[in-house]
Amino acid sequence: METRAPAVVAIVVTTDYGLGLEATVASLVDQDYPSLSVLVIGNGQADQVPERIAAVAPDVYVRLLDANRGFAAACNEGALLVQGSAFFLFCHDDIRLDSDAVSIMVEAAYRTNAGIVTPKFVDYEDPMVLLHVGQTSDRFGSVKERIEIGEIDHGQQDLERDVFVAPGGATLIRTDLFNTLRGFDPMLPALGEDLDICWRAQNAGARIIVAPGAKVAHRESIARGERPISALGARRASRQSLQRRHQLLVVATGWGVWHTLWILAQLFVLDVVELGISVVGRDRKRVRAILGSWRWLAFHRRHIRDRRKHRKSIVALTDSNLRRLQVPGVNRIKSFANTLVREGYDAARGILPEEEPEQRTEDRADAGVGFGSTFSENDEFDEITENPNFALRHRPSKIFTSFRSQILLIGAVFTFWAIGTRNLISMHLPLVGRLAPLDSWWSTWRHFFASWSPNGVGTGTPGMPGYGVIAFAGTFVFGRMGTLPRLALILAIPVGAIGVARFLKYKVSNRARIIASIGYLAMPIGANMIAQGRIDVLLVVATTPFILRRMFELLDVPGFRLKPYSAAVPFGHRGWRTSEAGQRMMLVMLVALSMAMAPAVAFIPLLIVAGVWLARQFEPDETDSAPSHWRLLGSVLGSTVWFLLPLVANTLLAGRRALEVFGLQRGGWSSPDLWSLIKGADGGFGQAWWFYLLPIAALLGLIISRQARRAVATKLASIYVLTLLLSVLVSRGTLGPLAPDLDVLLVLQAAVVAALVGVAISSLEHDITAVKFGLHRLIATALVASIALTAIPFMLDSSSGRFDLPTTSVAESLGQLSSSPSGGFRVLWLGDPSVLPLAGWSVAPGVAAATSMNGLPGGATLFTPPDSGASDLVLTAVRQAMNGATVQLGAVLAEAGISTVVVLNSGAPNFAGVQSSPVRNAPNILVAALGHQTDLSLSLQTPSEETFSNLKFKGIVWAKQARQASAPIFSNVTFSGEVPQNAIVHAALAPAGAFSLDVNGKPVARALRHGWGAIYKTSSSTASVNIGSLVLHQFPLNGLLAGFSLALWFVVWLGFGWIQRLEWIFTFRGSRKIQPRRAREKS
Amino acid sequence: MKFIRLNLATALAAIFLLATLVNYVQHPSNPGISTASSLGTNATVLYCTGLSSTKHHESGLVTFQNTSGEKRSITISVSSPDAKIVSTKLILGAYRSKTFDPSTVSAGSYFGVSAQFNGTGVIAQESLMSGQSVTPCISSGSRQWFGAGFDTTVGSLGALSVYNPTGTPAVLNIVAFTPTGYVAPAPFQGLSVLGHAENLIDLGSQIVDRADIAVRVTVLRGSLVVAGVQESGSTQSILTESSQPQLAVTYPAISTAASAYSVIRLANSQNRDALAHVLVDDGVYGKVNFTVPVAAYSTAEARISPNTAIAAGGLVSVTVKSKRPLSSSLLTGATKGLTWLTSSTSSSVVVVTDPLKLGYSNLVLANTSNKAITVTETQLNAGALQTTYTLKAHGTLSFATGTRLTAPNIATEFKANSPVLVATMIRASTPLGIYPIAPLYSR
Repeated sequence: METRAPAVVAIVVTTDYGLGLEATVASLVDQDYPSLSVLVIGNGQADQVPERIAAVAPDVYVRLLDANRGFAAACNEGALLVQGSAFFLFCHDDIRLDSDAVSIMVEAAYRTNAGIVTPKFVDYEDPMVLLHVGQTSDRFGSVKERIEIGEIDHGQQDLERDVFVAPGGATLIRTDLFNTLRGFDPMLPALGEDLDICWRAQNAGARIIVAPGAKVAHRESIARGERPISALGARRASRQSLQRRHQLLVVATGWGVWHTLWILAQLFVLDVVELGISVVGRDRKRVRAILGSWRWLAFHRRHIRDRRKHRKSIVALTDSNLRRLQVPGVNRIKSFANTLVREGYDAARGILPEEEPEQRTEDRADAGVGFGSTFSENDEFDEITENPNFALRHRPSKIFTSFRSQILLIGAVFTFWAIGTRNLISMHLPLVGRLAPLDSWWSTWRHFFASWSPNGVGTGTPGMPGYGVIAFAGTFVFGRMGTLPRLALILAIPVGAIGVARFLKYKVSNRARIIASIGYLAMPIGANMIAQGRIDVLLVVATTPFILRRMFELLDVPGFRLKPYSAAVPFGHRGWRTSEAGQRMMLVMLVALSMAMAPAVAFIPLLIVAGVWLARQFEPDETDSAPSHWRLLGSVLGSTVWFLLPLVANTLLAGRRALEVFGLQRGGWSSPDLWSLIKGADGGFGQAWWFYLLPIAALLGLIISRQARRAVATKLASIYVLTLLLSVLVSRGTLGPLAPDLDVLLVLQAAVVAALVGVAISSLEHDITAVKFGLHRLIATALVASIALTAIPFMLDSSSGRFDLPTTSVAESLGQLSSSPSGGFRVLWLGDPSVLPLAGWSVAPGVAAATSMNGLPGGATLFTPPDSGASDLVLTAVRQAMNGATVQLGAVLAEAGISTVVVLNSGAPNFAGVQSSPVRNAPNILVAALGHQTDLSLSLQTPSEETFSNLKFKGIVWAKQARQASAPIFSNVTFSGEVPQNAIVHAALAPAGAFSLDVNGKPVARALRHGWGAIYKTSSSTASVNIGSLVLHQFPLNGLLAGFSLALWFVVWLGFGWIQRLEWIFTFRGSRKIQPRRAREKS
Repeated sequence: MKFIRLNLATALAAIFLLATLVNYVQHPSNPGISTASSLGTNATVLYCTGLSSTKHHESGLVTFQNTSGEKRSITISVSSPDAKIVSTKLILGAYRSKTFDPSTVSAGSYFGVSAQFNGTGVIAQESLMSGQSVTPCISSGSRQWFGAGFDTTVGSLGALSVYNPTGTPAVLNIVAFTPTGYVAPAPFQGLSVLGHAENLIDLGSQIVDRADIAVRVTVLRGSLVVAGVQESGSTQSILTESSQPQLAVTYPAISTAASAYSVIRLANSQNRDALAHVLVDDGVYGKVNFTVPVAAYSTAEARISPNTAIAAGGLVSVTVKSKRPLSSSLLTGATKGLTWLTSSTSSSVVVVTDPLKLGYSNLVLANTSNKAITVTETQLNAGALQTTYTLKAHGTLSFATGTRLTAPNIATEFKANSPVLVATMIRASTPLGIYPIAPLYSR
């Protein structure tokens, strides 16, 4: 039959065993368009195609290609076979056209003078669901749908309109345009060829329209992953890689020169950002895709030049006009943001999905980041679906299950934290706790290596490793040491909260993790440590959750060792970090780092191991690889010893004071009692009743938890109870001199409570219905109420903007401390160890003693070695005064160069409504005893402190001449200056042997005084002025010890793969070409 | 409750209970300041104040007794309101005693003496040259001091000798209670005493011509050693120990001899009236009860002798009880002047000595509890010679001192099995018992 309709040739490209081929061909055969021919291209491994086509359409032409070179190449091949057609209709083999589809598309092409026409694509199984009604693109070639995903077709899109991209599946292209464009680019075997040809068509000035009247059902079998991409050159590439590199190719050849450079630069930045996100999210496929796309582009630069030449020959639109056809902005960012808010981070990272894209369209309660799906990757955590009653009886609340709400919650918490710490950024830091001004970066390193330190009356014991930690941290702030305490005050607790979230990762839902983290923030110990300036404990606040996590992993607590440790890897090689030895070493280093600042951290692994061991005695885990608890503990602590050699040496030298390394005994009258300890309160925060809520929530969680959650909860509960017991024993003074820092123990309690709260939330989500005693609603209500109310203290804590850190301290108000213009002087600080602004030694329960030189404490006395050495003289004298055995304390203290005695009852003065600081009174007997001393004069008395001047004070270095009173010599800054002739020079600097007195360059004979001080007898000389100086002569044993420790840290750090990475430095084989990993593995 | 396996829950509960137990059983409190003002044999310093020179009345003496077997070096510092601080040294041989007259080294009129030892075992008492008013030196300053029984009537001098043994300038307030009420003269408020200074505060300068005055000294800053000085006619008394308000106080030996005058002066420093119940036990004729009302912030007297209700003729034991704490002191005498003795706080150890060889006739011990106690007597320089006595409830035990306080023995210690012991020594006098002396040391 003759027809005047323009000839249309439908080219169907089928690959492998296309499931919908028969339906596709049949629907084409059934078209009402009078001049339609069908050509089927069998694209590799298509031997069965003729037979299948013959069964449904015997008149259809079939052409088989010897290899699958991709959809584009097959289309081009088909086009070459056809002569005299006006239009090509390029079809996939998984579509089904309505019978009038071709007619409508051709009609639309003529009516609108379009070069390319695309139909309305609907879902293959459900034609009511729209797939594509044309597409748009941004300037980076990122395609965007014009419809919502899953949108139902109500005819709302049934207007013909211009589009930028005609999505593949069924594309009608005018033959002359196709020839002008030189067909599809065969370099694009799949994914992106539709964008490419449309972009080039737009460049050539062709119009692209969507004809919604033409309806085509598309199975999208490749996009759904029903069959792989088997085209040559694309087999080893992921869909993501193909799509990225094809987009990059289109952009690199779709614009003019300058526009191309500019847009490629922008695209590069975008890719770098995405690369960073992918690296953080360990999305290796995406990393490979991004890097591969640029590498692929560079590799095909000749092809790019060819395409650009061709573009130049056909281009009809300017770049600006082309931009106007595209959507503004950056689709990728919009898509990321939208998906992030709607579906969460994991989904957002998958904006270029590889698998099951339709899952994004579903909004099931257990999908996305909700607690159901994210609870665990471990099957044993997912019994929720096994409980048939669950779906019927209990549906957990959806509050805070969506990522958007979680982001909002985190944002709110962050905002509150920012508000709560706003004043810590710039306020003057008072001299409380451990907030003494740090020395310079270099001086702090020197303290670490020092052969002598001024603690007490001076000591030659090794420098405390805490100096090394601070100095090392100072390196990262470029020596701005003043920022370190602020960073600790502001960031330590949030870091700890993140640690709690990491602890619970893969064990509970995101919601539970977030709430547990907030619980950690709301526990009073953190706020109290800020208020008391205890940056040493704040470091522990930051690290304890991480220690807890690593200990649980090494102890093989169910759910914590997600995969077996990798096989033994040699030390220093990549992968050693993930081996058991590497993991253990990381724990050791973490513990050692914390112990350097607060040695009481040694009790944290002990309590964790003891708690897990206790819980397993009654409820053993079904794990085969659980290690020996105590051996692990011994291994961890034993290894830690090597990292802290100076501290260990100090402890061994300390003798009976060795136990004081963990903390000094506080006064039982001012220590928190059991009920405060349960709340974790040791200070102004935590006294209100609602601080019981979190422990109560933790208890409820313990009661209702089941299975794997219970295994975790029981261990946490055991740790909590054991820690509580130890805290009570320490608080009550039962253990005598063994008094680990109570605040460190409370940090562990807080971490455990927060983790238990997370488990409680998870149990609420999964286990509550299994509680048989009919109180589940009551428990759930109590649990939720408890947790919700924790927001109250958290908000109240943050009201001052500095967590009640005082704006001024008692110590700073002691202006009269600068009592000696020459000779130097010491101040003796007495009081409860928790209120002293520097570390000291214990005199009696509730009394610690420490000295500072020439005024207020500074960076040189941040840490005190447990060995009191010659300072025992001072401690004994104070103790004797307390016992009434002396009323001449001043005379004894004068021998130690002490000019002033300060007794502190609180770190900062209390002003009602302005600032408050915990009052921890020194023993009444101490104040009374000092008041009874005949040679001490009370010079200042307030509720916070009492200051006594020493009437017998002579100076740290003083000279006594015959028939004259003792007089201080030398300056406050350096031990040098004029020395009187024929005088006895006393130096209250221990050990005496560490110093020598040189007068006019000649050493003076030394004798011991009181077994520790030095006396020198100067003789007459002819010089008008004798200049002398005390010179430190000490073999740098301490420096060697510190250096050894530091080297050990460095070597162990190298062990985490860096020896292999830095091998070229030692082997001088820098020019050797590095083999690809795959090749190395093969070899 | 399948979820809680009882084993673990029980273990955790047990640990929690243990923590609770520790929390409640062991509850350390801030150790309080000892209020004991008597000297101890382990003191390394003793303070004596209220001593006068002959310029003023009668020379005051300090007698040191070394109870240890080793030599002791004593550094003595003498302060006076009207003279420089003077220091001197004494060497005290083992078991030896020495008497020190501050007026020999200082030109002042009143003295505060600080004596520091290079060890323990030295005890000291102050007295007048005539041997009257023997009273122990004090081992530490205090923040509060009570004294009852002052007179500022014509012919009497009531004063406070205030010695600051420390380098801290002290500030004090003095409040007086009289039979008619409370007096707080402005000049007595905010008084300051410089470090190591001795001041004499004449109560009569502000509280004129009053009998039965009690004072409360409150030290606002620093600590002080306070002594009451009372001159009654030709008799001078020094009161170093504070008359702490107590609910019950016992005077083991008060004279009711004919022509003896004995009166207990009571002071109520609280804002509510008190009623003192006075129980007199003469051990022969039975017990006599009577009551004495003591108004708030006021003083009152309980006359023991002459008292028609009490048989005259010997020594009686008197206990004063009240529902509100009262300060008290005992004044005894004959026709001329009164001797002053403060109430003693009951203790478990009493040490008696007579370094001045004044010759005490009696020592009376009293048990202030309602249970019988055992008292062990030890002569300090006589080996392990010990004697044990039983003292019935509220009973007294009277000893003739005899050889107890003669050489080679230097002191005798009486130790009870509970701190309910009080003691009074009686010097030989006519009539008997008008010179009661507090023991040297009780704690």
